[in-house]
Amino acid sequence: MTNSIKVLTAIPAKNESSQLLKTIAEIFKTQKDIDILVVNDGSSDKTAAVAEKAGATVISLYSNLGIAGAREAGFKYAKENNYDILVQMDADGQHDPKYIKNLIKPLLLNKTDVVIGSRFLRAQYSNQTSRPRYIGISLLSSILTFLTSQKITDPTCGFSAYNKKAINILAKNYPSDYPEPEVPIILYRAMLKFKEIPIKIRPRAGGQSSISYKKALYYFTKVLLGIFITCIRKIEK
Amino acid sequence: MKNDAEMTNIQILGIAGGAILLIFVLELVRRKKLLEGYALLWILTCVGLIVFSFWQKLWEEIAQLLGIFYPPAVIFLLTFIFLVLIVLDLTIKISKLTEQNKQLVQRIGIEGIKGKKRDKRNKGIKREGDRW
Repeated sequence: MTNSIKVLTAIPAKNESSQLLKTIAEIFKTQKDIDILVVNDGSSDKTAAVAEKAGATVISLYSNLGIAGAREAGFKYAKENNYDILVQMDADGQHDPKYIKNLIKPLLLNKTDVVIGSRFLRAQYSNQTSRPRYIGISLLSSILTFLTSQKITDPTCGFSAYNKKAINILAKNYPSDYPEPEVPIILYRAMLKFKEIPIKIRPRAGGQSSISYKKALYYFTKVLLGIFITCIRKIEK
Repeated sequence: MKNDAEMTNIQILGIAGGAILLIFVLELVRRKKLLEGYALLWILTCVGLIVFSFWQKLWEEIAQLLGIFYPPAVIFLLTFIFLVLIVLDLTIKISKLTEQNKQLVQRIGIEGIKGKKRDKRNKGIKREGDRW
């Protein structure tokens, strides 16, 4: 990586003290010149202390804002501290830091403004989620592909990288509730380019992500509403 | 106006209800339990209810226009519309508060780092001073 390019990895974390140390150490191992920001989203455990000890900068949110508010804080911090690239990832170890390099590369080459990881771009990585979730994801993909006239295979993946232009737009227009599916629409409407790259998600370190049909339906309805609103909302430049 | 002499029970209920609610709302504002801005819709509702209850001819005509067989129901309809407006107004205000709260929490988090960095710098200076 060139010296002049400042890269930040933002990791929202709520009560992740058991996983965080490993995740941060892994990032530093794969990427030397990178700053790590942990957005401590109202944790009741030692998340902040663990992250600081591991060498990350920590923003502690006084009350729990949820994933969208925490990610948005990462965008605001990146913007205010003049970072050239922001990588968003999860704390729970599902996102393998070895992909950060791949996420950043198209941005460094100025090919696109945003790079989003996709579990479904390669067939062999596809079988990585529960069935109700997969049905919802396929439906969402079709809707987003239609709305943005660009192929989107994995609209719920949080592992992504943004250049300065995208950081600026998203710091001002970040969605609430479930942000990932709405981000491509904001980008499309702000005339920013984005692309997906294949990634493989690791199994969750603690327990399985068990989303039932009922929960999936609720999530799906809420996301649909969010997508619709994002389509008609004003985008601040 | 012959209506003034003979008020129907529903009129009395409307006027009394409106007046009591109005006094209650004004008292809350006076004690600062309710901010003026939030009280406006309530006061309008109460005044509207009172005026409407007096003005029998108006609601009888509206009832005829809308095909409502029981004219006093117009008063309830109007009150209902106002209540919907008040609830909508409340959810708008809650949304605004939620947004402000989010921004505040993020701001405190980000400023907190700056404070920490400053403290570290200050400590460094002190240590250097001690050496000399």
